[in-house]
Amino acid sequence: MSKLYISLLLTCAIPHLALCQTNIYMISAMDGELLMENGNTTNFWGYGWQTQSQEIELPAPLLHFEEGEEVIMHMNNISPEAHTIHLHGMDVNQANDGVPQTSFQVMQNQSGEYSFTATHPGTYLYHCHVTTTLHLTMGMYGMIVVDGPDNTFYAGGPGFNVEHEYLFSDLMVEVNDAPALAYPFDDIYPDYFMVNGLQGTMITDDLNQHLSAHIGDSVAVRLGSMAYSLIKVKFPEGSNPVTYMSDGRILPNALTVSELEIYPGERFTTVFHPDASFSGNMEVEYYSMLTKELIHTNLVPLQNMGVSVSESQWSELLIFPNPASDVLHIQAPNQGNFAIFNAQGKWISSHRVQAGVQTLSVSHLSPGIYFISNGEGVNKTFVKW
Amino acid sequence: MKAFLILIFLVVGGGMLAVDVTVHLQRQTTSMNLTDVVMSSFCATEEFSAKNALISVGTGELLNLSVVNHDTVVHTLTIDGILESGNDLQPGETVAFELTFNDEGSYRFYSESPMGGLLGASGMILVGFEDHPRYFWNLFDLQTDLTFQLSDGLTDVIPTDYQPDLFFINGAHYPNTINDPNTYVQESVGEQIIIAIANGGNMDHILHFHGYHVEILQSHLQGDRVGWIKDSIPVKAGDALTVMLTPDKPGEYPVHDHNLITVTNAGFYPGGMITYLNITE
Repeated sequence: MSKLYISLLLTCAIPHLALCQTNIYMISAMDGELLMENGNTTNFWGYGWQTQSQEIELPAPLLHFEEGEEVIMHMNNISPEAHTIHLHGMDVNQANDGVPQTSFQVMQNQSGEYSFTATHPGTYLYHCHVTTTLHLTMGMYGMIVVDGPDNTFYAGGPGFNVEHEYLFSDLMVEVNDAPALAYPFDDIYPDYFMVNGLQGTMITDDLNQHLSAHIGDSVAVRLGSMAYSLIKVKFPEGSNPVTYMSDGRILPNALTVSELEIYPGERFTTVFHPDASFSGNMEVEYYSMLTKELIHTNLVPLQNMGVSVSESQWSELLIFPNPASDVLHIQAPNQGNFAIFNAQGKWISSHRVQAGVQTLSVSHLSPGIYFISNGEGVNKTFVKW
Repeated sequence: MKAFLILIFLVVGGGMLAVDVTVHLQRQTTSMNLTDVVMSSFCATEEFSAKNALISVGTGELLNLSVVNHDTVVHTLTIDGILESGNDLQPGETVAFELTFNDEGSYRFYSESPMGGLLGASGMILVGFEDHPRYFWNLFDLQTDLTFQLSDGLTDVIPTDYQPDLFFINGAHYPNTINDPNTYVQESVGEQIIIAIANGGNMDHILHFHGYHVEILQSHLQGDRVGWIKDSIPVKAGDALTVMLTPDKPGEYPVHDHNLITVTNAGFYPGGMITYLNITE
């Protein structure tokens, strides 16, 4: 999942103080084209950043806020139909709930604002609540993460040094191909199943979807479902998963189960504590909500999990150009993990790097100084301009 | 004096106090969303209603439950954990049950006959929580044409290609749900509101609360989730669970199934499993 939350326009000089107000600018549109695993495309509707390109994404951009952060989400609806943003699980007041009947809807070619405070750290969702059955299957959803202090899930809670987010969803290609013919809505049977908007080999081919860590790391895995299916996530042996939160609240007793059922709209926050080197997959199974029949399985690779990148190897890592505007090239001697932090030390995103040269988009980052860290005290600095 | 404290509230019918409760098991063709369907119900009166009886009883108190089988076929009465299967209700027969519930929480009473439970005959009993505002959400789903096959004896199972098209809370679908005082929650900020939820339907449901989180107090099928505080609550087929809602702000918010095919009536949105919370200062 792309981590574009840095494209925030901050209206205060010190952005991480609780009393600051953050403005983010998004669009809603209905002109998305989703490339599917078989090479075909289908339509999707969604949200994107308010940029010159006005492109929308499936899933919508991942949003990160800090606990206590006051946020105004501006939505410019450039589509021919009304849309809203429902902040699923954020417990906002009625006026900002995104339900047309009790809040407001943003008509075509108009803008709206949603104001709220990110009161509880945790994992949340956002989606359109206009004709919800149709607008969700068309793709109008994304994930929200409210960060706890200092890379913990919540004050006094478990910490982590690597984080991955996985949003599960599905669609019925026939509906997305011709949404005007979608009625009746009780006849929606998904036949395309996604992790962060990707299915099957598209997941395994995308290194950013891979989940990896060193021995001794604490790997935060944020899981959420906007699917019409029941999701079962099976964690591989050796990942030692502990689930601490669900729906943005702390569980009374942490779960040590190796399998989670995730119903539509639910979220879980889990930590892996790999204690040995191994490879495997996180299996994501999609079951019919009607018949409980297993329909599809996606695999999220956990390649070489537990293998550490040594400091000497890391020192051979090159990043260029520096400063960078749109992309950063990373030349690594072997595979490993790294995270990007901003000048305030706030975690931005985590990545898996393979041996050789690969490209990382930084166009979404605000201008400034950033650090790349392997989590072992070895940092490299780059400037985004 | 103690006898006066042994109170059983029959919720349906205006909150009439009663020590004894009589329910009327009926099966008939009824109109739902301008479409004829066959439904069975443990009705609170002799008049047919798709809304099953909703009963409140105190912990440890005696419930004298009489069931009148108005149907032409044999039914049964089962209450998970309280009354095991095998209690036949012959056509035209009235059977009395003396029941005691020692644990707070929500229970289903239902007929295991294909012409009973599969057509909606599943009522609710809420035990305890007398000091709280109490609501009942009794969930059910059906496939219109299948109800006739079940009622005619052409099948006695839910097929693997089950395609439900109507979705109910307390025998009503949205917007009718908000006319039911057991379904539409009207309370104040700070109240500790008890909501008994049961799923007598043929598929799992997942209720999403807007505006608030709720605490799961009890569940027959998801005991491992007791104590969890959530905004999205799976209600598995056959489960009965209890949640507490303590609203921290005023507002009018929907609660709905987040399996979004179920917020429709015969495929048209909005409908089905939607109700509202109306919280005032």
